[in-house]
Amino acid sequence: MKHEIIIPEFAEGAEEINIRQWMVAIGDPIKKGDNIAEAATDKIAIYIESPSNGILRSILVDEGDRVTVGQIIGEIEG
Amino acid sequence: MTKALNWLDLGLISYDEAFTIQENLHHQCVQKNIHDILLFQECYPIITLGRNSHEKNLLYSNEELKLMGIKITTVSRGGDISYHGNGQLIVSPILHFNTYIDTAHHYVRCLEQIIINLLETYSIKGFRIKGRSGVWVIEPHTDEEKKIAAIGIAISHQVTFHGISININPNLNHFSTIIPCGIHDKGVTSIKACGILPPSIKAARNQFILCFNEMFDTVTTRKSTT
Repeated sequence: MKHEIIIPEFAEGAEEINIRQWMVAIGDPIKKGDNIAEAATDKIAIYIESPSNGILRSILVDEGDRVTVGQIIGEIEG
Repeated sequence: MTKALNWLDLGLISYDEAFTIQENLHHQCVQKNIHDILLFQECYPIITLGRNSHEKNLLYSNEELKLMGIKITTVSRGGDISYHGNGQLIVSPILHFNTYIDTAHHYVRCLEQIIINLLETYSIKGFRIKGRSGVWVIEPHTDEEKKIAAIGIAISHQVTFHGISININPNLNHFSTIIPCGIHDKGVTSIKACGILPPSIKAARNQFILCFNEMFDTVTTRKSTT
């Protein structure tokens, strides 16, 4: 079963959100709640949590890319 | 409903030591082993490079900074480059922020308003500048807009850390080693530089707690140990 990694709603309102870094690589085993990516607005660093246990199967945005709230940035299979 | 949280003052401490304590408290807060907490500190001179830092905003070499007694470190908050040092109150709210407010952006705006309210108690009019976080004032003797408080936060597992620094009476010359927050056309000031008899760090801390309680309808009590 695939689980989507999504930019959380609580980041709403920021003028711009960028992906700072991926903290895991495709194929890595991941636990639910692990910090797996970091996004940043001009004043807020936001650590994105894994929504489930599983294996990271896809990364849909690169480091430095601009993203929006609700955007799917990767997928976990588990 | 009124919420309960704690506060803890680390006093004058090295930034690194304080951050280790902050990380530990953040972890405990995420695990819900402790209440949300306001962590206060005053630290020895240090330049911190946030997640959006640009090297060009550091104007002095490591050797020059060392001679001035200023350390440098990379940190996990948002924002660009900042200076911290004696005479500055640093507040790191470690909170399940979405039990207080809906979005992280709104949370930052609330922190700014708390500082504006705090400054008002010292007869200083603070304000925001669109597109530039932090709190600003018109410095009386120069009649220029200058930053008096900086903000940079991080959120992990829905719990905030890092926070705010408020310039009570720091050595403002130390800010000339950087372009604070990457803003090159405006300077930095302090409560003292605004011509106001500066409160002690503890007095400013107590005033911050009052303003925080008023903003978020909280009751804040002292935490006895780290």
